[in-house]
Amino acid sequence: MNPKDKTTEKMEAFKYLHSASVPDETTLDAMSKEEVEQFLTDTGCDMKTLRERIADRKRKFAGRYALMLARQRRLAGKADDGPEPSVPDTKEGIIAFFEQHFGASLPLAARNFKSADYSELRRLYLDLVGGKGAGPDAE
Amino acid sequence: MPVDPDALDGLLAGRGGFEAAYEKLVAAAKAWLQTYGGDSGGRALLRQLEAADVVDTAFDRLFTEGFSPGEDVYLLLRRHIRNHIRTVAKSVKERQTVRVDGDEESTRTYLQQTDPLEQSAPERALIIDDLEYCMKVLFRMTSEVKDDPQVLALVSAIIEGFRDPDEICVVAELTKPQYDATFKRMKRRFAQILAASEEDKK
Repeated sequence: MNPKDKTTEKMEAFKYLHSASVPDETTLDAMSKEEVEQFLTDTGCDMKTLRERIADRKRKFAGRYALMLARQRRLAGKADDGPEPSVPDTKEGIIAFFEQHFGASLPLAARNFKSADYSELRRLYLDLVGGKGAGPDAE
Repeated sequence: MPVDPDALDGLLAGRGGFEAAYEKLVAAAKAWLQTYGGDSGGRALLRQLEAADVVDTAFDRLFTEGFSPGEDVYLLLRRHIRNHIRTVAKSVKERQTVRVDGDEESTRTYLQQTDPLEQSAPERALIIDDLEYCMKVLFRMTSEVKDDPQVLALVSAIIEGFRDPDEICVVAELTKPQYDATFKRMKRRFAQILAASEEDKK
């Protein structure tokens, strides 16, 4: 066996071990929660840190989900179905809301929100949560 | 605006709730990053990405773009993750110098764009552009499993070219139940060594 053949055999072995060890979509779907956590631990994931992150993201994304539903309701013309959302009564309150629910992924229109005045922030807030005050004639 | 903290559990109920789905998505992202990460072009950038960050980006996109009622949100998130990784892999074009004819003046640098996710089926499992890296991982594997003679015998048989479980059982002197248990241990050890080797490359 010449050296090239040996290299080829080793590459084949590497590929085989890789495909056996790194789960594909089908394998992942069939894995239990414990097996997934075992894989994450084996591949260097700190589960304590990940669980803390998951708890944080669960809160954050629940807010985003509620915003998305409100936006969809408004776009479907059903904004009157629910009570008018309450708006934080200070500029700081609205900014805190934006930061809590959007973090670094704020919509483009809100990127410079810290320099906006309260009425602008209020309009932006209502636009995001789907309130009637979002229109151009609001206030 | 009412915010129900458990709303996401309902959204991902088919996958065991938010926590179980998030963990599985991180595992999927890790697997794809390991498979498609490389040493050149956009694939080198994949080595810098954290799987959990890719998952967060997918959730951001989900709630920005929305989804249809009844749509399997987990599959949609997984698709967003895959597309993200694919986009990064293609984001930096690889430069290739090509001599057009005998005249050195005519040497040009061409941009070659490759899509690692559009390889032929057997190659999709792994794209190797670093022979030395693969050899190092194999060497590390055979060195570090010496504490488990059965795993070492199994890996040695695979390196020798054996794939059939019955043949491996003969070569590695394992019974079938021993083979099954050893194969599981081998998969875990290889995944651990692969992840550690990836970290070393960062």
